[in-house]
Amino acid sequence: MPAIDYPPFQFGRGSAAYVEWETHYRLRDETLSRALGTCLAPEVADLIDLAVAVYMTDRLHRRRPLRAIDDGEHWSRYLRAEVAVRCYERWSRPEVHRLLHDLLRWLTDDEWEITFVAGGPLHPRHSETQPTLFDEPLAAPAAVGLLSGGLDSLLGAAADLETSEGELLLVSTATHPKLGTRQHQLAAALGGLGRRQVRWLGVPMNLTAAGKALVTGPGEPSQRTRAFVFLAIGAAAALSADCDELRAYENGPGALNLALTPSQRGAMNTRAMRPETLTLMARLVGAVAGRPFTISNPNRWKTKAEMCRDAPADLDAAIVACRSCDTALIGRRPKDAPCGRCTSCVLRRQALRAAGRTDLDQLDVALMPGDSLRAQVPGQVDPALRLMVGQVAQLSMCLASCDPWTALVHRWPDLASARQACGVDSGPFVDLLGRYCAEWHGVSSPVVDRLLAA
Amino acid sequence: MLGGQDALVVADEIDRAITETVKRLALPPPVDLVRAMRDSVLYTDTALYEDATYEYARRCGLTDLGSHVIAEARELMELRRTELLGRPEAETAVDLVAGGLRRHAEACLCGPEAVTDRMLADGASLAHVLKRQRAYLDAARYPVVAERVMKETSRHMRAPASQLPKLSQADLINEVL
Repeated sequence: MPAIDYPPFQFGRGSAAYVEWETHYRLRDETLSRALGTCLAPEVADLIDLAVAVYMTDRLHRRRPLRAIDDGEHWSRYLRAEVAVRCYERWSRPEVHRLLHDLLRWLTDDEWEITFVAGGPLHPRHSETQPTLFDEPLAAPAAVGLLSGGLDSLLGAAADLETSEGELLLVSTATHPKLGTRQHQLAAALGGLGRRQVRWLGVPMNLTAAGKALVTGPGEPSQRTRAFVFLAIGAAAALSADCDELRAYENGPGALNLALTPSQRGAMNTRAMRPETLTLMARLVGAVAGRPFTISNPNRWKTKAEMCRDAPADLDAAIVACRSCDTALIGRRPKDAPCGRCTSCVLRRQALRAAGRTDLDQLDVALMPGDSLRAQVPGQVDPALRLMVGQVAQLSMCLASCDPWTALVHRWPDLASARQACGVDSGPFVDLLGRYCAEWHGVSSPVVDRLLAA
Repeated sequence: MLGGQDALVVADEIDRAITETVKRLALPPPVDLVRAMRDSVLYTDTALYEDATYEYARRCGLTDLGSHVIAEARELMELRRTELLGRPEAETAVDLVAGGLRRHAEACLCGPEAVTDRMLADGASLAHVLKRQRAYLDAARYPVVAERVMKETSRHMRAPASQLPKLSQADLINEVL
C-alpha cells in the first residue's frame, strides 16, 4: 500500500492556523533554565521547538487510516512541517538539513519535509525570556544523563554515581504527571546513594485538548519521535550546562531492539536507543551548536541481567519503585501495577531472574495479575512472552551456525548499520547476543523450556 | 493450517501471492540502487548508497515490499560487498528483488502470530516450527518472479507455472470422485 501523503503543519509562525505553545501543547522547559540558572540559548530553544513540532506532526497523523484493515501494510507516511526558528541560518545549512532528515527517516520510516521560517516563534517561552538571579553551574567534572523512570536508566545512573566526583544532572521528560512524580522519586533515591551530587530536572510536555483537536479522531499510537523529544531535551540540558556529552542508559539487546517477527520491519520496533540514532542525533546537535557533541550509552555491551547483577544493594527499594511496564502509569491499575504481559515486563522479569534477584521479581509478580512464566504450554502464555522466546530461538539458531554474523545479518539486516555506528567488528555483537540467549536458557520456566527445546 | 501441507503446494501459493503483490505495487527494478551500491564500494562513500536507498524507497511509494528489497541491499553491502564489483548490475538487481520477495513472503507467512500458534499447537518446539516454515519458503521461486520484474512491466506479469506434477485424466477423475 503506497504511503499516505499528509498536508503540512505550521509551527510557531505562519498562516492563521499555526500550532502554538500553550494553545496546542504544553512544554515546561523553564525547569531547565531554572535548574541551571540560565536562559536557553536561541539555537537550543530552536532544537526544543523543532522536537515538539516533529513529535506533534508524527502523533497527529495516523499511519493506518481509522477504518482501514490492519493488514500490516499501512506504515510509512509523507509528513511535512514548517517550523519558525530563531537561528534560521544555522538550521537552513544543507548539512543540518541532511542530518535532520536522515535522523527522522531512520526513527520513523517516514519521508519528512521540514522547512524553516526565519524570525522565531511569535510567542517565546519563559525558558528563554526569564533569567534567574543566580547562575547555578554544575560542579565539575559534570555529567548529564537521561532518567526515563525505567529500570535501565535507574541502574545506569546508579553506576555513573560511582565513576566520578563531579555533579550528575539527570534529565527527565514526562508526558504524564504520574511519570514525572516517579522520575522525581527515583532521582531523590539516587541522590542519597553515591559519592556524586545529583541534580534532577523534569520537563513536562503534553498536547492540550486544542492540540489533539487539530485532527479528527485518535492520533497515531506508535509515536516514534518521542525519542527525538527526549534526546533533544537531554541535549538542550547538556548544552546549557556546558557539557559536550549526554549519557543515555539502555541495555545492549534493548537498545538494538531487534524485530520479534519477520513481519516487523524498520522502525516498527522503536529505534529510540539504537547506536545509529544516538550517532545521528549527536551529529545534528553538534552541527547546530557549532561544537562536537556525543551521546553515549555506557551499557551498550551489557545485557539487562548484567546491569541488574552490578546494581548496588542499597538500590533495591528504588528498583521495586521503578516501572518498566509500557502501561503501568497509564493503565489505572492499583499501585501503578505492571501488567506482566508486555515485552518490557517480560524482559525485566527475565533480567531479574537471570541476575539471581528472584526476590525482587517476586515483589513485581505480587503486583501483576498473574505469573506467565509458570504456564505449562504455549497456548497459555501471552503473545509477548512467546514472541520474545521465538526471537531467542531464532538468535540461537543463527549463533549456532558456522558463521553467526552472516546468519544474524541475514535475519536482521539493520544489525549492519548498528555495527557501523559503533565502529566495531561483529565480535561484540555476537558475544552480547550469545550472552543474552544463554540467560534465557537459564530462566526456570516450564513454558520457556518447552519452547526453547531443540 | 500449514502443518500438514506439502511444501510445493505452499510454494505455489507463495509464487502466486508475490506475483500479485508485485503487480499491485508496481515494484520498480532496483538498477539505480545497485549502481549506487557499486559506486559506494568503488569510491568508499556510503552516502551514495544511503541516498539511493531513500530514492528507491520513494520510487516504491514507501511500501513494505520496497523496504524488503532495501533490507536485502543492506545485507549484501555488509556481507558480500566485493561481489558487486565483479557482477553485472542486472544480475545483482535480480538477486535483490528475489531476496526482497522472500523477505516479504516470510513476513506474511511467519509474521502473524496465529500461524505460529497453530503450528505450535501440536506440541512442536519453536526451532522445529522455524525449520518447517523455512522449508516452505525455500520451495518458492523468487528468482523467476524477480527476472520478470526486471524484464516486463510488472502490471502485466503472470505467476510462474505450478511446480506440482500435472494430473493425468485418470487422476483427475479419481480426484473428483
